[in-house]
Amino acid sequence: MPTAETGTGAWSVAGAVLAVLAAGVVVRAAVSVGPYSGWDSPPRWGDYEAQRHWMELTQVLGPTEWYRNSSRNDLDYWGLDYPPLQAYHAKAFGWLAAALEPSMVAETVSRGYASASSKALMRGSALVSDVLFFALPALAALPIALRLGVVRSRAALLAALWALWLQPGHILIDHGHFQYNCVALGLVLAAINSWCAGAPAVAAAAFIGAVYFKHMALYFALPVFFAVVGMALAARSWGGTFRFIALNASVVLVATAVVWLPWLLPTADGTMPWDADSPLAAALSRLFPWQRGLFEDKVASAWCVFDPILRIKTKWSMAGQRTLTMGVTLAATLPSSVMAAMVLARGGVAPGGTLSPAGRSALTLSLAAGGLAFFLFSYHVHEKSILFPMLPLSLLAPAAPLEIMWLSVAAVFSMFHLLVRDGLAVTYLGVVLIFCMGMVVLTGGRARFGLWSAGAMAVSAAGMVMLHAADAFVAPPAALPYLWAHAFAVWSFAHFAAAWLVCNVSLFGAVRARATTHAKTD
Amino acid sequence: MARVRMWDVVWVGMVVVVCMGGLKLALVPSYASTDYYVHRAWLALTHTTPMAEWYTDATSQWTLDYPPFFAWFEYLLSLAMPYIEPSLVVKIDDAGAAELDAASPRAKIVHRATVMVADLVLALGAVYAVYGFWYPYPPRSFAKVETVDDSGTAGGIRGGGGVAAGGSSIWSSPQAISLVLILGSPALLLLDHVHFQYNGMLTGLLLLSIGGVTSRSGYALTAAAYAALLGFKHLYLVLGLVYTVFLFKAVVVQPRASLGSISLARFAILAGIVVAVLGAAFAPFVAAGSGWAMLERLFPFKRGLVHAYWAPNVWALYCGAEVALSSGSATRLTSGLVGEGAFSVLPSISPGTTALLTVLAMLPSVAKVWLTTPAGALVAAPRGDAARFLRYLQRPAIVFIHGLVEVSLASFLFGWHVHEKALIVPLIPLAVLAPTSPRYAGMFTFLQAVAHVALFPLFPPGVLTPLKIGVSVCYTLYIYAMLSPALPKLYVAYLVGLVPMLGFAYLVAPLALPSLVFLPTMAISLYCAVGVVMAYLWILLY
Repeated sequence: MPTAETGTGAWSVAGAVLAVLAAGVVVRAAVSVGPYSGWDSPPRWGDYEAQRHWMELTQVLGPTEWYRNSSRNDLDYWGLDYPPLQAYHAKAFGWLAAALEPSMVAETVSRGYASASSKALMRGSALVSDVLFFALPALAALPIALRLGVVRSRAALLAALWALWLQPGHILIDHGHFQYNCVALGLVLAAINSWCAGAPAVAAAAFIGAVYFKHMALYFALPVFFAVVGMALAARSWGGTFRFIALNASVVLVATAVVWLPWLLPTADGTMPWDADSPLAAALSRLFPWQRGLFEDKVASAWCVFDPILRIKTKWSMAGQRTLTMGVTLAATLPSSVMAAMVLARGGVAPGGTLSPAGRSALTLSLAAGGLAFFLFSYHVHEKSILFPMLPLSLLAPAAPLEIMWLSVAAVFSMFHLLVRDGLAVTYLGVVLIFCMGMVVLTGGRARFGLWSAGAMAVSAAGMVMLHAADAFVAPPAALPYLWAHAFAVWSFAHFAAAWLVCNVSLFGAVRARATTHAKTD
Repeated sequence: MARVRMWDVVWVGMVVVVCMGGLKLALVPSYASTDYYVHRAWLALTHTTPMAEWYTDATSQWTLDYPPFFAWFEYLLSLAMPYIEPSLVVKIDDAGAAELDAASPRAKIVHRATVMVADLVLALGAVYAVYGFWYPYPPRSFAKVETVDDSGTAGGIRGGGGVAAGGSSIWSSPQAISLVLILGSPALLLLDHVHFQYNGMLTGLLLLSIGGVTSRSGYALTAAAYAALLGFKHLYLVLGLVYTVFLFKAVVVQPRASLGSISLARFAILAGIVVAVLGAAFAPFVAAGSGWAMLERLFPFKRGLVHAYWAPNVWALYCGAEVALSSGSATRLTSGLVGEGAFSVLPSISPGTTALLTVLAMLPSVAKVWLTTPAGALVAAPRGDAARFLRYLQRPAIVFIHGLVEVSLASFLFGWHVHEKALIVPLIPLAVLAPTSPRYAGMFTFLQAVAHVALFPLFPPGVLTPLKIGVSVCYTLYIYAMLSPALPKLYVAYLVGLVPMLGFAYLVAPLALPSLVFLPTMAISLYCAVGVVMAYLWILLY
């Protein structure tokens, strides 16, 4: 007869994990029934149409033509502005679409194509991508966390999975609004897993894959660079350090060569990749749109939030804006990156090459801080980009489930007006309810708040509810039509800035703890 | 020994209601079925037409064909509409209704929200029935519950297999498992919140009446709630025999007495309640002169033996045999309406035949209820003692619920023009019994799988496919995580066979034999019909 002890046994843990996975699939399936970005809004529709258009584009043109304006590729109509892996992914599903419903990807005439079956195909492609590229790394994260001792109870394990797999912003953007963030996020997660598990070469490949799928993963470039340097220094010998760096560099080079191969070869008419009119140059200029402005719409970045006071967007030159944002972003990212490198270099890596709990925590905090810094301060940020810092933050759920739940709600709150435009306001409410209720139940009501956290959370929640009420029932003054949207951005900014600060303070504490223990042992 | 408190059960119910509420909200934009427009038409009808004309008006093709309480319920909802969403009570034909909805996206949100609010009756009924049914159970050591009889009560629960932390968690209690199975039912979610009906509210009333059985003086509630349920939807009339026989034996007959000794007072109470409630429902309409019109609407025998999509019962198998024997020439069977002259090889079936067969099929079950219900059980139950509670209240309750499941399956199998949706009538009460033993858990596992697959054809393949498969798989996983269902090998084989059958229906048939458009639903219907027959036989012979 089984006893209460079997509560932590392998089968019932596996059953519960399976149930959480299935719950995540059900929520995604329910959200995907609803409308998507640009549904029924000609002539440009929205992100859904962009993705469909890329399926069409990659079916009819060769890779070197994808980023170039031509008679067959009008870049003004949802021109491809993501790196090649995203395009290859579109090509794979475009091939499936061409086999099942050819009119969906017919050249040019398929613009704005909508049918029940094509919607099912598009939604299905997002669901399949999410399960393959995100659920699997999320699952793999669990035994790694268990082995590192980051997770000690079943409640913490399920909270960790819940925070990753039921993350409301991720679900609403990928399966409501329509994008494939899941692929890039899943590759970043796979990279973190591999670093923790002591497979740095796999990690480097996964991370560069994420960047070549969606270059917003570059938010993590600095923290990753410093973390790799820290891990290299942990080798404690110049030879070991050199080998580690060389390994990472060669993986990145090989991966780059493979992914970008069509653009690195000379074209038929002899244009070399480094020429100004080469396909490679065209691709790069599509990826980094420095002319698109400091910010677009209302977003919880510092430049948008403080715009009424600073007026940088209107008063500074384009070049000045670029220099300013780069400087501030670097200044906000470097301290946490360097601190994490210090922790990793001094005892962050266990003898077998796996990360120690302190090393894993430093890596995660540094990715979170760096991601937040880029979201808060970099040039031309989209509200959806908050999903990137939310990934390392969700990994902190076992230690702080309720705080991460709270921040996840703030993240999806910051995208509320985007979701309203997509007709997903009711869906937003539903997904947030499920996420919070599940988190509370899975942690068994055991997670406790400090008085400060509880007070701050109460204020934060009251603010969100009041802003929602104002947005729904009070018309903003005629002179300030975007008052509520701006207030949403300001309120979200406060949360993200606070999270950035907490990550930096925690890293500082970790560095100091390392320093004192090392001073004692040396 | 601490008991599971009322508050614990309410908390579990609340959590499930909120989580399911989230899914329901996410499903608001899903497609609107015919039933959505049916209820929209009734909302407008009751709002704009005097009550005497409710059963004669035919402005919309969706005429009112539910009993009066349901009409009053629509009327009650319509009272709020001028303040919330006036377009919902504009009385027009269906094309106009679709146009109005397109013009006001809010209409759909508001209309769907009424279903969510009505679902609170389900939560209430489920909490009441489940709490009462398991009243004396302690939260700990479910794996080793000492039972007063040898039927293995609560033996179906996996030791400490709770989804949340710790084995002694409230989530691994039978109360919580039953509640999750009822409130998280995919059938109710899909039927009410995608397809659009108010089954949750009706099932809530049914559960309230079942809950009355497990408390000492609850039989009045049992009778009242059931009579009210009949006033909402007369489909539940098929349960009438079990209600009558059970209440007579357990309430009217004196405890530990021969049949000669009955309590006329309690008989009068029960009869008075039923007459009063049904009278309140029907008398005003009879008095207003629309009694016959109502009767014609309630019992439309002109509709045909089976529905366009054959509900998986005996008649589906009969029609399948006809199609096979006539080597596919029985086009009238597969084209929708099955009226006179549809059968060329096999004899035609009349409504009278189905009624007779239904009653005959019910008789063994009714006899079983009569024989196994202890005389006066509900009025003899002693106070306090948990062991006595089980003998005097839970055991009769099991007999009663088991009887309800049996007769509703019998009527489903043999009834005239049955809808596949009617499978929720046996399914939900069975969820109360599921945690009592591995066998009941097995029956529930089997029946829910058949019922959910049988509902699939209601939802067109496409964007809803991952949802309908996902919720069913999730639900089955939950059952296996929390209970240890015991199924005979044949039944396991049947369940495994569902997968290739669905593969055939949804992948092979449309691609290989696209000209036979009815083949996919026919395959599902026939396979599920076999499943329902198997479930019925298992439960009948248990």
